[in-house]
Amino acid sequence: MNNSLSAQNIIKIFDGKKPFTAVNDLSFELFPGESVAFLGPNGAGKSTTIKLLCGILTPTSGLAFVNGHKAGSFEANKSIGLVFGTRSQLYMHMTVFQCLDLISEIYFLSGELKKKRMATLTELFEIGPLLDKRVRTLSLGQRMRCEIVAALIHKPSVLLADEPTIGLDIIAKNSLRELIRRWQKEEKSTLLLTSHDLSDVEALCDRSILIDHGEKKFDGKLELLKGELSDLRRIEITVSDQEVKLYKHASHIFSSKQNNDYIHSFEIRLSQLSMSEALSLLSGHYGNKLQDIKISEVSLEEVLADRFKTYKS
Amino acid sequence: MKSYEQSLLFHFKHAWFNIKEQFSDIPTSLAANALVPFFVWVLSRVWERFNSHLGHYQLHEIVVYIGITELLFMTFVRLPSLNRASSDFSISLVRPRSWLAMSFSGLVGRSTGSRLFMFIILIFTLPLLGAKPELVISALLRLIILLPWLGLIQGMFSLLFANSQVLWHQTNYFILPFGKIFLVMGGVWGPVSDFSEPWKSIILKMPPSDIFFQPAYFCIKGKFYQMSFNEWWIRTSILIVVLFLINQIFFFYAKKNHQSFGG
Repeated sequence: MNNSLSAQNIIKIFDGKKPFTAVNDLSFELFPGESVAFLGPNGAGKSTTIKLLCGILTPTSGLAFVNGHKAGSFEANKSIGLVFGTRSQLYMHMTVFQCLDLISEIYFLSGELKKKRMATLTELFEIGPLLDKRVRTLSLGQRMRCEIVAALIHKPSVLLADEPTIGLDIIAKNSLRELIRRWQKEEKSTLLLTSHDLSDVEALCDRSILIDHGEKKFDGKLELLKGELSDLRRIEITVSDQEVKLYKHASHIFSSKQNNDYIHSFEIRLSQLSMSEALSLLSGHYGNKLQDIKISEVSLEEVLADRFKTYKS
Repeated sequence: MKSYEQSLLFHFKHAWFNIKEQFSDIPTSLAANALVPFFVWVLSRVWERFNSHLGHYQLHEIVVYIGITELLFMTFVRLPSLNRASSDFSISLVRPRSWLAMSFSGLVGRSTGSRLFMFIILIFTLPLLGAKPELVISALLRLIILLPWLGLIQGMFSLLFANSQVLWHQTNYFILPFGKIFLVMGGVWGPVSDFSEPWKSIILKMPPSDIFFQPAYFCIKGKFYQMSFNEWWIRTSILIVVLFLINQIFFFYAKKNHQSFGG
């Protein structure tokens, strides 16, 4: 299968008094229709890698390709759409329509093709009522929808989204995620997402690439990122009587902790003890003193924090 | 349509977009230009106090002259336009259009839009400041003919600064002194003032005189000062070509430098 985005042994060294290697022998491929999260702590080399992929920077060695074209070339630039959560591509004092019209022309879109494309995206991203409004009058959520439309106006095969939901409230975030999912389903394009909001990652991506100190540390399905922690489950019990003793299992497979007089927490590994067995043991111990129960998996934040700590040590 | 024709059409559209942008926020533009008539009034009164004895010009001509030079100078190499152009440098590398060409058409559009806005203000205010209406009309009509050409020159100078900002971030600190030098040498006072020789002749041959004094003089008198139209046109054409070449060199080094600081 032809890839839509590829990095082949790219190295980027910034010259200076102390040369600094920002990206060190990085290789990966993205295929059409994939949604990939590009993750890493601050200073890991994410932004540098994104810039290498889209041609803002040239690698010290190695190659980056977009749709088979060298990154930064004319054809590659026509295949990429960029959206930045922290930087606008729209013009504050012009209407949304005027901005999209100009941006279409930048990408050599004109006439009937331009009208059709704008109509499609207007419907997909529900920005019809916003077209005649000046950009400065839009809310942040509305503006981000328009920014994404601007990035997609030329029908790129790859969308690079850098913190697209930054600053949005939960409703606006969910709405934007749903629209992006809908767009991907319609156009089968590739999405490369960088975000510190891991709920974006979980909502939009099925694969992740982890980078730290310029090196790739992980590349695979999101659920595999959890690795050993994927079968860890946390059970939190609320009891009605503070006199109830904390349940302690004889073996190490069931770890217990009393948070306060009324909340008791436990951790189990599903590979060692099934949930039904665990619940059975707990209900046997607490009986009718068991008021409420909450079960959760380990969060992506914890997984990443754990991984980054490991990489540092 | 051939690709260069298509490209030219796009850049005209881009320049037009930037002209329209100057008229999209009328209250802000009015506020930014509200003091222009005041400056014209003050400077013309200062000229009357110190230079009217020279006898070369009448007060009402000087009012129009100062109005026109203020229009040209206050839209020359403006920091907000330069900042926008230089901040677009990175994103332009991801787009299938040249940053140099897009920035140039954008800068020309923005300055022309600002100039047209001030032009409208001057139509109404110059007669109120003592200028004869017939002179105002003839001068401003002559200015309209020169504005596109002057816009190209202004665009080239601004592009040079935008290029320099990508190369050296400290360029910001030089914009104001640069503008002031142009003001002194070719702006409001320049060649109409009481400079002695050889300075007067030297100043008359410098670019500030070609892009401020000579156009303003032409607008009032209908001819260039001690120069034919062809000579002025050749001088300014050479200036454009030289600036174009310097911009190409600066852009080459700006792209190289851009790689070093992370884009």
